[in-house]
Amino acid sequence: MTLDDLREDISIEFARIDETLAEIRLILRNERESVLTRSDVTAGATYLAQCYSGIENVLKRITKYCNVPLPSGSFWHAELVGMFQAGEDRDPRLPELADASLFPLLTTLRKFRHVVAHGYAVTFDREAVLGTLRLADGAVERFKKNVLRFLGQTTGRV
Amino acid sequence: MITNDQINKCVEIAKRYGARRLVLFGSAAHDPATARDIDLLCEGVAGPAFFEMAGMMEHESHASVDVVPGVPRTKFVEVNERRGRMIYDTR
Repeated sequence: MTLDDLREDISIEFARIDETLAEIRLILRNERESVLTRSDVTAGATYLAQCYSGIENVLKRITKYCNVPLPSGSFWHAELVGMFQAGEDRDPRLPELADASLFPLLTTLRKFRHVVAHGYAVTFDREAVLGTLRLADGAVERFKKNVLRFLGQTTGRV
Repeated sequence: MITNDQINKCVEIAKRYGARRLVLFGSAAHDPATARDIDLLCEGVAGPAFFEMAGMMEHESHASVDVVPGVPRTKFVEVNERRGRMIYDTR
């Protein structure tokens, strides 16, 4: 995979994430107008889960580009984001994309996605979902900024 | 296999997030030697912090962790609280 391929793939992923975030913003705007139904909350939870899937797609592409093996097994979701954390354990071939304050936010989105994927929507805690939706914009924007910085600093094939 | 150290790590993290009660249920409560994950009921942590806590448990214990809110007290919560084991309680 060339750097141009990576940039192109990530830009497609970011565009989809941006469209999804726009839908989340719409739901939060409706929340302020107090017109949210359970279906709106479920839709918001689904959109947010999809945002995190997009983040994982970006992390997987960068991992492959950097010639680092992808984690496998039932624990791979947690391992994948952990590979981009600050600290001595990080593979030096991988960039730091989840600093100490961003990592807990990404962890929140990751676990939230798990609940959405495996739980019944009728049992979702409305306030927990809305609270997490409010975190989404800031967390995703910070993540994108870190990825774009990495892409800007990288030249050629790793 | 789930170890006591992994369960204790989850308790430590739950305390850090202000949990009031933690119940271990599922296979890790009854047969940790063959369990593949840690199932917990948790009270006292709400909102996005709940998901963050659950993710941090997984990250720091190096085990798959499923955390279910202990409130509201659904049938699922009642059954698993009865079958499970209290591992932290501030009451």
